Amino acid sequence: MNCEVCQLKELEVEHFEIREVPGVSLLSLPPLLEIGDDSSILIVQCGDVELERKIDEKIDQFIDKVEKHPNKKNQICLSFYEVKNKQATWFSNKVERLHWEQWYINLNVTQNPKGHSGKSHLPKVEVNPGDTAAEARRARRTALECSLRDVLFQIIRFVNEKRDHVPPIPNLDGVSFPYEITISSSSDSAFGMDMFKRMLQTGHPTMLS
Amino acid sequence: MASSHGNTHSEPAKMEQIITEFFAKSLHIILESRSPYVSSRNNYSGEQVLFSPSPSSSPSSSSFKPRDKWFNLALRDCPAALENIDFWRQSNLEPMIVDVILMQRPNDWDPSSFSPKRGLARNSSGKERYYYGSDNDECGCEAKNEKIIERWVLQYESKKSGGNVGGSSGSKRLSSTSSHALYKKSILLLRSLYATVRLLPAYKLFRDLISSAQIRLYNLGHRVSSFVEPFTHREEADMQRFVFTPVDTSCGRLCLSVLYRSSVLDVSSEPSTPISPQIIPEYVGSPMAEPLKRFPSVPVSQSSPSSSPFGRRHSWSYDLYRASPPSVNPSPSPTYSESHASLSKQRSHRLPPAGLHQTSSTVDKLFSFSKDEPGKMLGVKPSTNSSPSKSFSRSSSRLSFQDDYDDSEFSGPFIVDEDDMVDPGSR
Repeated sequence: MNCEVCQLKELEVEHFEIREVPGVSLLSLPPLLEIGDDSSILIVQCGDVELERKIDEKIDQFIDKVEKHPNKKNQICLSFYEVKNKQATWFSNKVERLHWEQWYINLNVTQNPKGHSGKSHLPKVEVNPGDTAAEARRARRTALECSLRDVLFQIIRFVNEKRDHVPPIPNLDGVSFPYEITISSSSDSAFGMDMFKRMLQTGHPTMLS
Repeated sequence: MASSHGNTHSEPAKMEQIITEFFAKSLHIILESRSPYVSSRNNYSGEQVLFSPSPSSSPSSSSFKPRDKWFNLALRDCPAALENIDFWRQSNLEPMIVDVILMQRPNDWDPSSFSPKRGLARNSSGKERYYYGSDNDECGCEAKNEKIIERWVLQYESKKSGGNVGGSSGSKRLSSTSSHALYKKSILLLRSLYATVRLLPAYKLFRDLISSAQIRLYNLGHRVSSFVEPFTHREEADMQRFVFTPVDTSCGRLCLSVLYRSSVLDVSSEPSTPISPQIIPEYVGSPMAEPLKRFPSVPVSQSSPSSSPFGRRHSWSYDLYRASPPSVNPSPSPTYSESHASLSKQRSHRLPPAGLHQTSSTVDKLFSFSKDEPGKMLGVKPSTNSSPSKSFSRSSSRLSFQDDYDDSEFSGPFIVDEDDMVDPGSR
């Protein structure tokens, strides 16, 4: 089975926005989009308490990694897999996982609380010199919202175009497929090796960016 | 032979049931996020979709009926959807077209004179069915200005070939896989639909209507029908199209697409008080509505082009003061693709009243059109397989299938042994 890989467009977020920009796959994670009362940005939530807990844990790990490696590009990999064979031995209880879909959420966390850096990938937003910091931040969040919408549409397009590789749904309650979330940054030596390793395990991937 | 004959008939029945339920679920998803009246009646406090219809997670057991288990997507009650789906339960070969209508209240709107009003009409052939869901208590009057801001088209294109109804074991295996694959892909498609309806601009209007205590000068209605007049080219030029990848089956394919307007966000920035007869030419939003906070993606009026929050052309909005259609923004990329259906050219009755072409106000721009240009038209061709009237004989047989293939039975093929299941997220 081929592993479909989707590299989502890079999002540039500030440190305090990390929790507001989770990228989730539509296949197993029920997306619940709400517009916050105090913010126009989309807020993605899940209806599964356990899933939200796991995501919060991963986000905490991600934040720790960002703090250790500031100004680095970071990546969250959401991978869905099938359990191929259970190989229980005396010394290990290794379970072989066959990854069939991987999502790479690329985040560029900026440390500048006042706005984006010069290498921002966000659409250019004209800011008058006389604008207050609040307006600048509002403008930046507007741009981030647009980028996030683009990413969500990217997810929808991918899910629409790639269906044949999805295995039969094993779990009708809650999360449909087993998954794992890994975090890496550009400073990690395993940043690319992790993906390369999965490519070797799962066969020839089909990249879709 | 008799057993194989029975098995081969069960597979088409399953697929037919899946398609029928798909129509119902799609309509439910769309109207759940476009029909404000339903949401307000249900004490809507925030959308929740329960993907697990377990009693512990459901707010009330009465809200989730066995049918809600379909496609692992349990939604809240939506009477508008239930009232409109009967026709397609009898004949899913007919396309289902859902128009989301933005209704602007008249200038002399008087809240005290409102009364709930619904419109239900049927043409002489019984083929069309119109239902105006503008049944919000605050907007029971007949709206003077209506504009279709979304058109959802769902159609099952049946193959004219005989299909695989053979009795051989090989075809049985292929056909038995078809319903499984169809069900799985339907789940994915419906989840995509669920997300898409919440990403489109009209969802913002819906959210404002159900969450705001202010009386709005606009409302959302809907119309569900099997046959509509296509948009004019000018109308369609103002809209964007998103086409979901069809789900192929052994007997046809499910097709879903949407035409939507990208510039509906400006409407919700209207003041909550009745507007004066003289339309404001430069309408950006009232201080009460806090346009900067609510609609940062809305382009600024021409009077303040340097305002930074709106300097960027949002992917769903464009400069309304431009006469030409917006340039294609590939980022969100609602797919521009050829429509899979065609419709004979019909006279369009969607032109707005002439009185609206007086000012350049934002709302009025929704009712204006660009220059007439030749081009394709959206249309839906009634299925050639369908008879002019409803197929009642078919519906009776379908009912027997529904009795035989209830949800619990049909969900069987996807249930695996618990021993083979792994806890999600385990490492």
